[in-house]
Amino acid sequence: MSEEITVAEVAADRPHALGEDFLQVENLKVHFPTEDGLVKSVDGLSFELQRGRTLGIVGESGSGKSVTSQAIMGLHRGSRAQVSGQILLDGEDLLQVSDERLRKLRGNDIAMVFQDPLSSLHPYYTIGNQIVEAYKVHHDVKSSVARKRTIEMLDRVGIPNPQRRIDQYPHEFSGGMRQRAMIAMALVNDPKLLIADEPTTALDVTVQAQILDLILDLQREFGSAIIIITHDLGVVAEMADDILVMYAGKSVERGPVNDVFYTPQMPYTWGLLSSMPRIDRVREERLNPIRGNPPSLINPPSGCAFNPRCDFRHEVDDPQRCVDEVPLFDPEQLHPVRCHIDHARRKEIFESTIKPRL
Amino acid sequence: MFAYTIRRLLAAFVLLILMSMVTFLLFNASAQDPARLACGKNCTVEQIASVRHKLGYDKPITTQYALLIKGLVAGRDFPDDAATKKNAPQTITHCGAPCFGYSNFQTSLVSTLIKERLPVSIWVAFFAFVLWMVFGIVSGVIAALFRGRWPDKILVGLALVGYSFPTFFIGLVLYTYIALQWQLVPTPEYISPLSDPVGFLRGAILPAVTLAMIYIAGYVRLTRAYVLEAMGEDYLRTARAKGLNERTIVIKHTLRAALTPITTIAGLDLGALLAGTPITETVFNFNGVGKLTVQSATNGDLPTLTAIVLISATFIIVANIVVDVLYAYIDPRVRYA
Amino acid sequence: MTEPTVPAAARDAGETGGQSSGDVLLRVEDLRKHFPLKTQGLIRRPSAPVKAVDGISFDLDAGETLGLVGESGCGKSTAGRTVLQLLEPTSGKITFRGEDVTGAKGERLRGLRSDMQMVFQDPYGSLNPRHTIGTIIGAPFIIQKAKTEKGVKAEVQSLMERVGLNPEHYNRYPHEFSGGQRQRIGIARAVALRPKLIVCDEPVSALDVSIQAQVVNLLEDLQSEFNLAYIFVAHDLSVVRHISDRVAVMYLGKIMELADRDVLYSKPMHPYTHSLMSAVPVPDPKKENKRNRILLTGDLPSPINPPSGCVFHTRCPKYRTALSDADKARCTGEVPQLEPKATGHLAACHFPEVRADVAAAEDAVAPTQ
Ligand SMILES: Nc1ncnc2c1ncn2[C@@H]1O[C@H](COP(=O)(O)OP(=O)(O)OP(=O)(O)O)[C@@H](O)[C@H]1O
Ligand SMILES: Nc1ncnc2c1ncn2[C@@H]1O[C@H](COP(=O)(O)OP(=O)(O)OP(=O)(O)O)[C@@H](O)[C@H]1O
Ligand code: SF4
Ligand code: SF4
Ligand SMILES: [Mg+2]
Ligand SMILES: [Mg+2]
Repeated sequence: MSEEITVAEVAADRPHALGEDFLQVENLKVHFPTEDGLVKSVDGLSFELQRGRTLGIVGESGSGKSVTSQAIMGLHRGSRAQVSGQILLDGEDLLQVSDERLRKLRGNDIAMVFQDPLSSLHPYYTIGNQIVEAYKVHHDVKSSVARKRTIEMLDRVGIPNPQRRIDQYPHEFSGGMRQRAMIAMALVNDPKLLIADEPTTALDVTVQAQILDLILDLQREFGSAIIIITHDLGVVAEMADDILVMYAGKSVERGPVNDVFYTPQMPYTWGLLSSMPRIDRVREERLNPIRGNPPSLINPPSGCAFNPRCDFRHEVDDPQRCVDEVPLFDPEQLHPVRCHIDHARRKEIFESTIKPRL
Repeated sequence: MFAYTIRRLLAAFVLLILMSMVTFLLFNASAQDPARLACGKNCTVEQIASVRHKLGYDKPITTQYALLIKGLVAGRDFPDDAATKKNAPQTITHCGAPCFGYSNFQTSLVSTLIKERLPVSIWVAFFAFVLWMVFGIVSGVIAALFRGRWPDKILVGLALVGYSFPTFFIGLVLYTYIALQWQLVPTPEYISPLSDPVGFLRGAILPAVTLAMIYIAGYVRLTRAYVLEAMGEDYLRTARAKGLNERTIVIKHTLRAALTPITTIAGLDLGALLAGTPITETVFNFNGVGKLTVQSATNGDLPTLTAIVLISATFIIVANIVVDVLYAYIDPRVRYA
Repeated sequence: MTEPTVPAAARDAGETGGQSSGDVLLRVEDLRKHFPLKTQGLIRRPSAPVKAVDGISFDLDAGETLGLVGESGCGKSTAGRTVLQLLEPTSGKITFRGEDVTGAKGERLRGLRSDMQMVFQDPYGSLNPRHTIGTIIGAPFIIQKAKTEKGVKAEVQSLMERVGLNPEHYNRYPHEFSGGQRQRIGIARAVALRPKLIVCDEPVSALDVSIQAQVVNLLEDLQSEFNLAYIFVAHDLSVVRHISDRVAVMYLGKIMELADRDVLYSKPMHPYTHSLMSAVPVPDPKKENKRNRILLTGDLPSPINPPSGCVFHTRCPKYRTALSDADKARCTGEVPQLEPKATGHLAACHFPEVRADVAAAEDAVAPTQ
């Protein structure tokens, strides 16, 4: 099998109908009390997602991406985390629902694929056992039915010989196959929302390409909404319809994928895009990392959290505002940006200084 | 797996042979004359000589060892010489396999002694084992599930208290108060569980509890630690994300992972106890192998001591094998490695 | 089974790819590393070994960087470790500074260690959590009994400064540092004795893009300062392109293609390289949607029982779709040599073909294109 498929073909029939918001996150805050102080991992995050669409979340390590996804799954319940705000799934607030209701939603309506497939699978149970279990919690069926469904799913995600493989243990699978099995487990109940937290970080490019393809394929088939979290901007470019850029627990830029890639507006996004080596461009002699260190989440910088590392403060009419005043983020806009620089000026700067460097 | 088991058994066999040689040599290398020890303090030179001849201590050391092994496998006769057999067959004592020798102190064949005593030790050990596994693991799991809250603090505290008292003290306190003063249970005595199971449980409860006390403390802490470790694993997050209820998460996912290492430790602990517990048996006056050990050691009863050493070694080695095989069965990663 | 090596003629002809141009620091010839498998059963008999590295050859100049890419499990790490003699090679020859160092032991090996170092992927796991970073970075001086001008501490602190760590943090422990900083600690330790060669095994894979850029820049600075040679193992093809002078593509323990960076990224010849290149996601949504992707199916075959002939034939798209039966028989029957092809660079394929269309670096092709 080596038909060459263009990614466009896959993307073309991705449903683009902008329906109602299926998932709405409103002013989400997740704070962890620790001995050193309150860690504000997520601090006032808002975004929404429609059925059939994919949101890519990018941002520095520690910017709160995983904590956000765990909050949506309700995995902070029972821990010392302080969670506030609203997470509306089809109008139902996941932060308010009962434990029992949440349990019913988990795995059935919302499913998750984790980064490290080996440690995320139970080493003592067969792959089949674990997927059958995931199916049976939400479906009152006989084991033989669940098993049939599992074999079907394994086949669907491209595991050869599913009848035999179903009875093997995770350690008998290769890295790529484990991640496929995780995906099969996540999709066994046809979830309406799939969260993939760095689903391919542990895999090499060949396997990564297979897995991403698989996720897109399944989305086409089931019309699920997807949140994909990653460091890899290439992966986002391939998968996402919209991009959310996070910095220090807040959203700093959000927009349709083309807007964010071709006309990014926030100095942090500029830094992110210019710090990676571009395989599709003429090779530069030197990479341009963002200077300085990631911010403390206990004592985040006042005003704009990016201000200690920002090279564009002088572009603000009154640079002091960057230190004094948190820039607003208007979620109603198509491409909101959290920065004090005037909108028109940002566009100018991007065209004149940033774009040529990218 | 099968081949692995066989290989382990062979290795164990070789190990046992070596053990027997070492034990035999050590005891024979001691300064004291074994015949004199066997005969007792007030023996005449002639008596000693006769005992020496009867028990075969007059033979070269290699022959003595060969006779010991022969006895174990096929049985032997005392004294083992052709002349006596022909002239006075009635003076010959036959000792059937497995023959560990003859104990002059107990005026009995060692094997007979062991046959009498071993069940006492084994049954009490099993009783204790069940107690400490059930209470230790249940408390450990509860402590882990309530980490940092009062059930955890109380259980861990109690475990620490149990841990810090010596066995004989616990034994004596239980004996004096529970059995004698308050008479909550009948006076401890060994009744075979095969003939009277309830009687056995009532009679052996105090020694079993005493033994279990020491282990429970360790097992509470061990279980708690393993459960906590398992609770931090990524696969539990996956289990939660599937929408499983807490009971399944704890019982199927957490405990399975947490208890596997405990199986190993428990198996080895039990193996070490089967061959007797000197202190407990002495305190409660149970005629088990433990008490026999104490008696034989004070008397210098070499044949009995040799037997006990060999038997304990066998138990421990067998426990090791069982645990390994069991572990491979429980942990699929080991099975295929 | 006779295995190919780079034919001497190709080397002498100074073809691009296998042969480097400057003074050769390291020469690896037909290097193999097989791990014996333990057998089950009563009687231990040697069974088929894992052929983790199965006959690779390349040269490396002083101050040069050779990128090593390939699927997970294809033997990149093993190759790096074997070159450094951290693993004993099964066969083959390693020449370092003109001297045969294969199987060096004892004092000689220790001497070599100060010239050859390693940086690992996991910046945390490779640092002892109970040692201060001063101790960690200073260890090579102690082990090698190296003389330092102003004492070990001063030396370590100047190193720390050099890699961008605050020298005042001399007495801190690894857990007090971020991922990027820990990786700097690993690098400081590796360059402490001014080695000539460093094998970097996925040094930036665990870091996010911005920190990755810092570490890559640091490696490049150190390279020009100390004339270091790197063997740079990574699975991120963009980073490899950025840092390498030449790149070797490995598959199942063998080198499939070896070429100058720009040539490899603009004119890949080997079908495996084609699929590798086409699999890289490009951070540009429009290009990304237009690209041709050659997906490989199935998993890497077992290195215990590699396929006959060309090891790639079980998954080779070209083999499956574009070859006649006679050609296929050649792929399955005859081991392709790693030898210069039309473009002058080395590829191990009977039917190589330049395909610029799959290269992710579409508009960044070498000037000749
Ligand atoms: N249970 C916790 N207690 C305290 N702090 C926490 C906890 N979980 C996460 N954090 C902190 O919250 C911040 C955000 O973590 P998160 O895992 O969301 O980052 P991320 O954006 O996913 O980063 P990465 O890309 O490295 O995965 C980090 O600084 C982390 O240390
Ligand atoms: N000590 C060992 N014993 C047996 N087999 C080994 C050993 N080390 C590596 N291998 C095997 O050798 C092959 C190559 O492994 P290696 O770690 O070199 O791959 P790699 O290319 O570095 O992969 P990755 O990208 O996942 O790091 C693998 O099949 C691996 O399982
Ligand atoms: S608000 Fe100020 S500091 Fe923040 S990104 Fe904009 S210019 Fe930079
Ligand atoms: S030799 Fe044949 S099978 Fe191997 S890569 Fe070339 S075309 Fe494919
Ligand atoms: Mg994360
Ligand atoms: Mg590796």
